[in-house]
Amino acid sequence: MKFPEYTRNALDVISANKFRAFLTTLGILIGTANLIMVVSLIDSTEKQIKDRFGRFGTRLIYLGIHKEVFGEDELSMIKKIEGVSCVCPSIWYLTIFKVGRKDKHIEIIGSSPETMYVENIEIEKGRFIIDSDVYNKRRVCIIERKLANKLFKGLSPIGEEMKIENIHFQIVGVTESKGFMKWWEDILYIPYTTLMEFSGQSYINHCGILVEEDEDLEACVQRIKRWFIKKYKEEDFHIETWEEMIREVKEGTNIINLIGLIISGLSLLIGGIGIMNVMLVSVRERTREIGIRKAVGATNRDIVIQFLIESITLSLVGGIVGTIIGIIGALIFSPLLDLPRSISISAIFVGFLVPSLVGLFFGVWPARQASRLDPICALRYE
Amino acid sequence: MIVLENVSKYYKMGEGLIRALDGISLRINEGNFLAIMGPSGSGKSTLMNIIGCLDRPTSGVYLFEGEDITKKKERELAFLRNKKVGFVFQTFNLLPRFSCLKNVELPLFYAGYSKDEMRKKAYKALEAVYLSHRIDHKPSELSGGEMQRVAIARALVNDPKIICADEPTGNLDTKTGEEIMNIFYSLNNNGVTIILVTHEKKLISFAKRRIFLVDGRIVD
Ligand SMILES: Nc1ncnc2c1ncn2[C@@H]1O[C@H](COP(=O)(O)OP(=O)(O)O)[C@@H](O)[C@H]1O
Ligand SMILES: [Mg+2]
Repeated sequence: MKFPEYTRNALDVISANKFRAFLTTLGILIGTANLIMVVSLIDSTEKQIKDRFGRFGTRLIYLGIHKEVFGEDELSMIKKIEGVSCVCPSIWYLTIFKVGRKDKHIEIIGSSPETMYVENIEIEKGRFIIDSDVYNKRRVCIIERKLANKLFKGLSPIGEEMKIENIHFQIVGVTESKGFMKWWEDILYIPYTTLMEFSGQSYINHCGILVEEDEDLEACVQRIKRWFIKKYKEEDFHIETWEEMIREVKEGTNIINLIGLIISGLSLLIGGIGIMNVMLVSVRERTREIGIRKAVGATNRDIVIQFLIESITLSLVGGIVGTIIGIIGALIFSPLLDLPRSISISAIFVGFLVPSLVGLFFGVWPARQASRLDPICALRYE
Repeated sequence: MIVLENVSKYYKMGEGLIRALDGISLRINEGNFLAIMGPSGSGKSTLMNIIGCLDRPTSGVYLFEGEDITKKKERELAFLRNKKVGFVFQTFNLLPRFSCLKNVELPLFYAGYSKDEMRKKAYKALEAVYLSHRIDHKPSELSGGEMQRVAIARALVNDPKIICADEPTGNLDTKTGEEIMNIFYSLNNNGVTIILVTHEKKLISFAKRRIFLVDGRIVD
């Protein structure tokens, strides 16, 4: 095979002119680094959606009720609709909570035992809300690890008390921090019945509905919609499936991705033109070499392949450095955007494939120029 | 082995036409040692390049081992240059970045030999020109005579039928030139056809046959 030799040769040529190679591949480097970050961001977002919606994801319907008309009775009526496996109310209540001397906003989520499955919550210590908590309106709470660490500095918070709006809650469990969105940072789960009593709110405004396993999701959504339309006005409620939720979350990152892709594309374009330029210079500088190679038996195809491998290698050098920088960048930026760190094989694959294609595309013309040189003129060239 | 019939090569220069070769007819038998002589610009290099399949005639017929070269594709000409012809140039034409060994390996690379075979054959060729102690040197570390010997090793490494040498001693002093001519002489004794372009009268004593070119025509 001639490829290893061509590649070695290409690396020789590149290392003979390191500074030029560096300048040439800067665009490729920036473009690839950027691209890797965008791909990682997309991966992270997807991973996060999976984490968020867990194994029930595809069977989940989210229900929002905008009017103060939905309570326990309605809840049990929905539960009777055909195909509904479980209904999980949640009430969100924003309040202020003192950490040391500082006031902090805290989101209290009035939950039911099923919330744990619907929201894919993982318990690290203790337990989640149980049926008897809901039934007895117990003043128990489950807090997130981040908040627990802040409050108890590594000591076990289980059994400790927290005072919220002058009411004492006993901590019975700690959950993993999900950090789904910034404003979700400090979350406290308490039984929804407790929250209704404590806040004086008599209605439910969020509900997760889990559809039975062998049930047609769309048909079930239609049945629920019909039930609501019969009872309320169209604008009073809002039903969303898992797929629609994912679309929304993705739309949130789409702008960042688009900007990233445009920057990548421009950098790669500039980088590609730079490579083409340097390869054209290289062909001119090495006219004699081309003549010599042809004189000893190189075909036009041999010359094309040689110069294509050179431009691809040149581009890949920038691409590999860019990939490394992109990965480091993604590792740094993901937590800043509240996304999980995720470096996928696809990102690395892209980091190799895209610069190769750029090198190939922008190398075609110089390589053809090289191959078309007349051997005699090339040998005479000074 | 080589038959040229009424071969011409013209170059367009603005309005005019340069007749670099003007109706050359020539037969060269296997094992011959032909010296092509003539003043500068008389078409010697052009003729040699056509014989070596590096160039095509504008008109006429050129048969190489019975095959019509004028009808061959670029790929086929490259194949012939690789397998049947070896070139030696006045300016050596070695690749400066490559070691002597790699320079000599180059034709074998395009012939598709394995790494080991390339090494072995290139080493043997360098041995034949008494340079086996220089294999890892770059051309810039060699004297002119040594560089030309590397070029000869490259020309003969693929066991060609003919070696085309275009003023191979033109850049060398007399003594070194004679050494180089001796190498050609012994190659010819081993059955390789040699075509030598030169305008040094002293060197043609080696040749079995000589032709003179003037203005693209054979005289005498
Ligand atoms: N590529 C070319 N374009 C135009 N004219 C050329 C070209 N190559 C050779 N010639 C002309 O053809 C003639 C023969 O050249 P050449 O064969 O190199 O002569 P020699 O080797 O005998 O000095 C010269 O007049 C030269 O200028
Ligand atoms: Mg000449």
